[in-house]
Amino acid sequence: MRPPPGPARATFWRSPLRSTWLTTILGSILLPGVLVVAATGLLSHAAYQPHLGRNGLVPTDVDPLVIGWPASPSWLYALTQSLHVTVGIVIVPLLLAKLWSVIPRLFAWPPVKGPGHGLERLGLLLLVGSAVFQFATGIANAQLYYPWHFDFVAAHYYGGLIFIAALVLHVATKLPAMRRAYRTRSQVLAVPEDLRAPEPEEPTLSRRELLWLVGAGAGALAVTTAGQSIGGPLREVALLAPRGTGESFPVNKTARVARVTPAMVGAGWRLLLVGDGEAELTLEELAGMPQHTYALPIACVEGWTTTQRWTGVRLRDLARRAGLADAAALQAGSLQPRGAFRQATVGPGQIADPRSLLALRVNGAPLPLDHGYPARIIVPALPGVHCTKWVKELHFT
Amino acid sequence: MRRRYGHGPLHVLGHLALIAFAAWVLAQMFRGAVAPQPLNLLLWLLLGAVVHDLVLLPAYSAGDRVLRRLPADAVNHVRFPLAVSGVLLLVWFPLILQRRPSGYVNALGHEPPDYLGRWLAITGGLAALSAVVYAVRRLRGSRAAAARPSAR
Repeated sequence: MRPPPGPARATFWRSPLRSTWLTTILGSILLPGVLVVAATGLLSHAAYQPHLGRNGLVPTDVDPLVIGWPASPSWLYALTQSLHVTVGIVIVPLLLAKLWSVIPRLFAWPPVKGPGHGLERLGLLLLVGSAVFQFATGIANAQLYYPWHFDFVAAHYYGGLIFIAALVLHVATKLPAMRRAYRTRSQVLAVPEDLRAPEPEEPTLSRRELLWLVGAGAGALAVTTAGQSIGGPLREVALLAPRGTGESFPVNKTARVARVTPAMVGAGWRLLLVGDGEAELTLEELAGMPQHTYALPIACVEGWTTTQRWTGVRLRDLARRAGLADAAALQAGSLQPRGAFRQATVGPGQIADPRSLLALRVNGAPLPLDHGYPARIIVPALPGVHCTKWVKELHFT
Repeated sequence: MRRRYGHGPLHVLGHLALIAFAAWVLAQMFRGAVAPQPLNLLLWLLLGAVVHDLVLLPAYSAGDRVLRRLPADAVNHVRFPLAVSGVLLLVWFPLILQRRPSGYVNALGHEPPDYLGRWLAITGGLAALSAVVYAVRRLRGSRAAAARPSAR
């Protein structure tokens, strides 16, 4: 049966660049990128330690990603989350080029050639649908832009699961074709195949130049973005990043947005310390305990990081003070009246790490109100939003 | 089976497993706590691919077709800066076009930088760079042509 006029006909597609070989090259470059993004995405989910306290943000029956997230090395979460966000952004041009290279197949005629083809197309719908969904929601979240009516964290997690499953199957299905393309890369150019235009236009761009174009797009995204994660002089060229130039010590959420007022953290502030009993500590009493200073990175799920010198009381000293020297968990509660992150729980390894602090000072001065005055949690390699600010209670269990 | 189905048994098993897994994930995803408006989530899941395949890709292809009417040696000097600037806009349009939630400035603690101005400056810079490369190439080309007049 002859296809209807339009994109269903092979002659509709005129670009001389499309071929299985081009798609193979683009796929081979894109694959390591999406694997990094997928793996670091799963690690980010694990870093929130959903099995502890009320940390879990994804309603689920099964969570296979429960591990005790380590407190060492201190830059672990900064590295994994920066990779997740930065690589995810940088490979956008590759993803676009890859999708462009196979677009004629979307309109292939007949739409379903048989049960095998039908299943494959359903699998591709899941792959492309989840890929676009993951990239769009993730990139929007990094800009605090939420033009939807669903829970981002849970939807992005579930979308990621579908994407990873569909990707694994896609790579397994396409591996033979990729191998064939690599083996016969010179001969393949002469063989007619579904991606090659039967009536190509005069080329205005060579395949090599197309790869340069994709690389230029990826490079421009990298230069204007990566500095918010890497810091140093690169931060000053991160012109389009949400926390780029001039933001050497960004605030994720100001006291004003969190509805924490100066009156709430005034002279009447007390820390409620719960363990083997209950005690209230004043700021002076906390400052009278042994103080320790560490330079530690704090990394946001949106991709930016910053390293500062934090000073405060060790969490393990506070656990001892609460009468639970070998506490298995610590739930920190904030003065913040609302919001998913007004409390967070850390595990035994994190409490025991000597660099885990209830910080009272940063860079030698008392914490600014927007950074959590009078006291905030700082635990190495912990996602930024779990480093609870404006702490009012610590529950050791 | 291979003759009628077109692939081996692993192909069908793999695809059935993927579809079953995706169905389970979607059932989790569409619970009320995640998606209080299920239609909105459904739209987002389907619309992304549709918008890319049927709007974005045809739009930039059409743009490229217009561009190909330029003199052959100039096409890529327009195409490169436009494509790079376009992909920057695609990724950062919420910031560049100030699609910000009302609490954004309060969350940040200060006024955000002028992202639109920065993007325009980057676009202008790329265009200027490309124009310089074009001019140098043309100059070299005409000098080379002048050096060998007999070649014509």
